[in-house]
Amino acid sequence: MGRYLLRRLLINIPVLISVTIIIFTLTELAPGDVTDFFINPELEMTPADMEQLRIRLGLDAPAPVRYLRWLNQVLHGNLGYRFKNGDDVAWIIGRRLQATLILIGAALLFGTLLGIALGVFTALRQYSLWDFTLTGLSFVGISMPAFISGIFGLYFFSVRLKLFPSGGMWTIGQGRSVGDLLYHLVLPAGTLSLAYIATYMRYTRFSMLEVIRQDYITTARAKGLPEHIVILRHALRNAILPVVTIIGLSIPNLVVGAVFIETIYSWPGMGSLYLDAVLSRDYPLIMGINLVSAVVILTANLLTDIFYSVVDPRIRYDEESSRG
Amino acid sequence: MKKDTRGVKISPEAIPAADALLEVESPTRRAWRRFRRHRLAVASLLVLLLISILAVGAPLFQRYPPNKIDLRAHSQPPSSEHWLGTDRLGRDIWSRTIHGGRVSLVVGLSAAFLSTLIGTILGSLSGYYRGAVDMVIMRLTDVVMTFPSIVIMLTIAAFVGPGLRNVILIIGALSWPGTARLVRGQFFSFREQEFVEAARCLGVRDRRIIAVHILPNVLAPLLAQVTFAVGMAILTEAGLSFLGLGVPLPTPSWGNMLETARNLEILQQGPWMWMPPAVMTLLTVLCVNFIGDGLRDAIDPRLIL
Repeated sequence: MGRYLLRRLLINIPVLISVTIIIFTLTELAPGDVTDFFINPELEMTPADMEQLRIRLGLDAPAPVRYLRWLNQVLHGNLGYRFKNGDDVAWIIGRRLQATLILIGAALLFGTLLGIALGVFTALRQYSLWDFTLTGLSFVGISMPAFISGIFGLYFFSVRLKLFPSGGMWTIGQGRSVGDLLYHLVLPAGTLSLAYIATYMRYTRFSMLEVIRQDYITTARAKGLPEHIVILRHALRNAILPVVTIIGLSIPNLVVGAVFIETIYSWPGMGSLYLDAVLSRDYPLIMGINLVSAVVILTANLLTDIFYSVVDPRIRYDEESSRG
Repeated sequence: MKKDTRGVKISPEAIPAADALLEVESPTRRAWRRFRRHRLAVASLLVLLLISILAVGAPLFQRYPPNKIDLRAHSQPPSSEHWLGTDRLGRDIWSRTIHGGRVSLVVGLSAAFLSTLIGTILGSLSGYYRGAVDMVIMRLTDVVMTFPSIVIMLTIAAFVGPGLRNVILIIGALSWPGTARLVRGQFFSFREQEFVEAARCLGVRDRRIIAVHILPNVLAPLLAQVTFAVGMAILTEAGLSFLGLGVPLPTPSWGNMLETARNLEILQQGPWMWMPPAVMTLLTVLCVNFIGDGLRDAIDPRLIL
């Protein structure tokens, strides 16, 4: 087990290095000159002054050298400073990342629980009215991008029915309580999770239907085990494996969905920060967020693999993992 | 249950007389027969056809030019004058919606074409040569998949600037990993088969084996993938435009029409301004997904329909 995990961890290193190279290259190719942000437009700058400035900022070094310097700083936890207001990028990302993780975590939890529950429910009632209705709705859910579910959710549940607040994370002027956070979280997390409830439901249903016809299920029933034990312990335990993979694969998409949901509900997370960075071409912040989101996704993939190896005892750790 | 048309039958009107007298049901025809049984997919095909006709023929169906500003008739709810009402500048929503469909169609088809092209080339090379080539291409695929696509697209869009052509290039250049993996998997299984070995023995060059001998076998599963790619590209364009980094105004696109709903006042007081593009986007993607599902089922030989 230890060696398997170590190998999974090591595979990520070349991917992460490529990610840093791409991020650096993208910023290199970006239009405009970084020095613009350091020049006071009121002052006259001669070409010699400019050259002096470039040397002082280390911009005269060739690209590979600057890449290594940047990487060195990143490894020391320094992601640079925002052009816009000089804020420490690592600090501001850390603060915003928390809000995003709460949003994504809640959506993932909601999607997983409800999706698997509905999947089992419909699989046990195949071809019933419930099955047809929910399977039909799941198609709509899968085709519904976060920006449409977000807008619809905001319109119906906040603007029309006035059930939930239209944005933000806390009620202004009140102490921060968990209840208040949950109240603000319901709509963003709910609309973000919609597509995932639908996806996980479909996979669970499909997988359950396959498992439930196996001989060992018949055996379990023949032994006289109560039905809920057969379903939960014998069937679901096996049916859930492919669903775990799908959940892991959907995490990059969740991050994307969060960008939309955060802008729609003014959720103070990384997504809205990123949009702000992109629109103002704040390169250090753009680089920082790209890097952090890549790390988050790689970590999520790693966790999925670990979780998978825990739930599936058939995975052999001494061989190449089951994913191609 | 209709008459089974599988196997050999004579259908003189369907074939040129000199070619052959016997007709064996071709895979394409078989797939089409199986596809027609998927009622939702057929219905979706018809709806999508209707949407495409509205989009392609938008200038014929419009009642006002899509960019015509009429400040005296701004923010009007649907009426007989303006079927779907007008936006804040008095532009006709119906006209803008059907013209927006053109943008979605153009982006969807061109970006899907581009990503399929890249994905097929990389997937073929990867699956045919395996070894080091495969290793490099697959790591590249991993890296592209690690970035949440929209995030990197936003970065590039901010650098190169918004615009229809850039949106197509960005989406096309970054959505190929799924296709590449599919094609690679297919090549893995085909390259071991005897017809490939035979071709190799005859001294056929690699390039020709890939393009002429193996690739046609991959087209069927690729078709379903292309369908999904079109849907994804349409969604991505709408998403980028929704964030203000896609197709710039005044050109109407479903995404940038939806963007107006980010303003709470419009969201609340002018649902007709943003509902049509939202519904159209949803409907189009829904249809594309149903069609893709139908195609996949029709093509999958293991599935008995």
